Amino acid sequence: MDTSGFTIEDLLADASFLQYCLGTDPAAVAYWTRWVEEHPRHKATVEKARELYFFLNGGTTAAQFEADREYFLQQWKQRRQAPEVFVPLGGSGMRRRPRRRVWAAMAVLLLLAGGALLWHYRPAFRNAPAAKATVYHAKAGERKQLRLPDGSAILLNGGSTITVAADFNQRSRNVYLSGEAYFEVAPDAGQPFMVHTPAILIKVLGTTFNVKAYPEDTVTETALLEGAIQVYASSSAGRSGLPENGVLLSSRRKLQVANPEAKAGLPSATRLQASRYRVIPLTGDTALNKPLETDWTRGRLTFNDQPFDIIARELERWYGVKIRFEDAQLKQYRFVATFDKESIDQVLRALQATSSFHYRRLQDTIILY
Amino acid sequence: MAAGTTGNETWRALKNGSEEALLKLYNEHYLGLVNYGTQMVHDRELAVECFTELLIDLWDKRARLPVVENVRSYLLSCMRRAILHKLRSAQRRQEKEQQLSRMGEAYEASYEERLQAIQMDEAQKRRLLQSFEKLTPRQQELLKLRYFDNLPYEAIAGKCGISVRTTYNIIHNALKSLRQDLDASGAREQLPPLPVLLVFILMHYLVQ
Repeated sequence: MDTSGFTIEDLLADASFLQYCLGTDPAAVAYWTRWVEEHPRHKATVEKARELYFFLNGGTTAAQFEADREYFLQQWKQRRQAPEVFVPLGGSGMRRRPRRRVWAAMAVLLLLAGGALLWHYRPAFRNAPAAKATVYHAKAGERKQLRLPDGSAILLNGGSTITVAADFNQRSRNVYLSGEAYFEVAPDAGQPFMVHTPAILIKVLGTTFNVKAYPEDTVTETALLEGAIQVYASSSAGRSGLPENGVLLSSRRKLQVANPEAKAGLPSATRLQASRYRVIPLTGDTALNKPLETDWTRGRLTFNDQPFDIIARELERWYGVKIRFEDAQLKQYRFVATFDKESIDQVLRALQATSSFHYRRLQDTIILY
Repeated sequence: MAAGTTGNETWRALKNGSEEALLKLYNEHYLGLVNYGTQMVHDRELAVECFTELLIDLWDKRARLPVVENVRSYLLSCMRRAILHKLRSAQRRQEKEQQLSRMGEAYEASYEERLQAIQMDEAQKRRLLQSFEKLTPRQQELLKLRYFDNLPYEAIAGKCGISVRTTYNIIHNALKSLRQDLDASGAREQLPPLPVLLVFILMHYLVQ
């Protein structure tokens, strides 16, 4: 094979060859790609050298590097954009013009993206939650387990509705979600599994993830436990800032976007801007695949430093009660807590132990004051 | 190449606000630092997380960065601090008790243990590991420094107190015996010899 005396060890002695394998230097990649084209008889040697390198370097492949770098670029971009968001409106005249141009460009891009998506998912929408689609609903206070014809499993959280398209598992796998659900999608590369929510569209080939898209919340979020999913802006929601070809989310991360209907002035609106999305790591014990984001699937209710009004909404869905604030200031209280099998009264009493508030109960309505 | 003299120019450019310089640092130090972190905590995702945050932190503080002689050593100590910080904040959350008690013992995984943990074709991995075990400890160590830690020959030579030429030769010979081993064991599993194949193909056409 190595009649010319050209060997794997010669290739691996060359630093630029390693950069080509991993993809860390565009010049090296260009050089060696051309070299391989010009020396087809060495192709097998190059391939073997690459394999050996990916072993010796601890299992880091070019695809791995690409995915990690993509994640870094996105995080960095968000950081660079962050100060701009907080610049007060009447800023210096010097800055305003370029920024207006950026907004104009973004608007054009979003229009194009929206149009392209609408075109792309046309068939999905035409026969969407129409005639014979199946609707499953979990009332507040209950959780429902479903198994779809393709073998995928769904756990539906309280106050959530999922609509399975009439032609599900025929050529495509479309479901429409309002609320929260945990998906274990059966792999089928030929038929991508699509989760439609008002804000985002998630394309999956087969993996495990959580989607939280309650219309009354300000944020829609999807948390990925393993594998990868592709997240697009929903065609009806133009402002999420997601790129046209979507964002590839890698494992143990979650993506958040502002809900299209979320009013800007909502008291506990998170700092997430309407035109931005963000990708952050999952919280809690991600090593054991038990992040806080999916605690609910294990029957646990977890609050990680969240304001009371958001917690109240979670309690409403979990216990099937209505909660009203008589004292609006209470909404700003923040709690860190985990509940396992406590009743709503036990939960409220536990919260009272850390902050002073009162509550009274009228059947299924709880009033905080 | 990582940690060469060019590192200082990139560092200066970063201090002057060059985005290109940050990207260059990312590419050059990705493998070495992520592997370093992975060995520390046995969790590659966490190491990638820390490396990402570390670089963004460099960008935020670019104007105030110190002048450094050796960029790689500076980044290694930043990385170490970032990972310890991450572990400590996890500790505060008391969510990782079990995991931390394991990490408290904080032993660094050996190179071979790292290689055993790689996710790849099992048969292929077994063959590679078998060949790897046949190498001398010195050969294994230098392979780690070159390909896992991603150090250039000059740095390895300095670290081990040997000449660059010797470093090069040891690595070259190690790769050679790996390759010969793989060729020998691979040959048995390969396709039948060409004449046999030709007969099969001929028969296939004759039957049609």
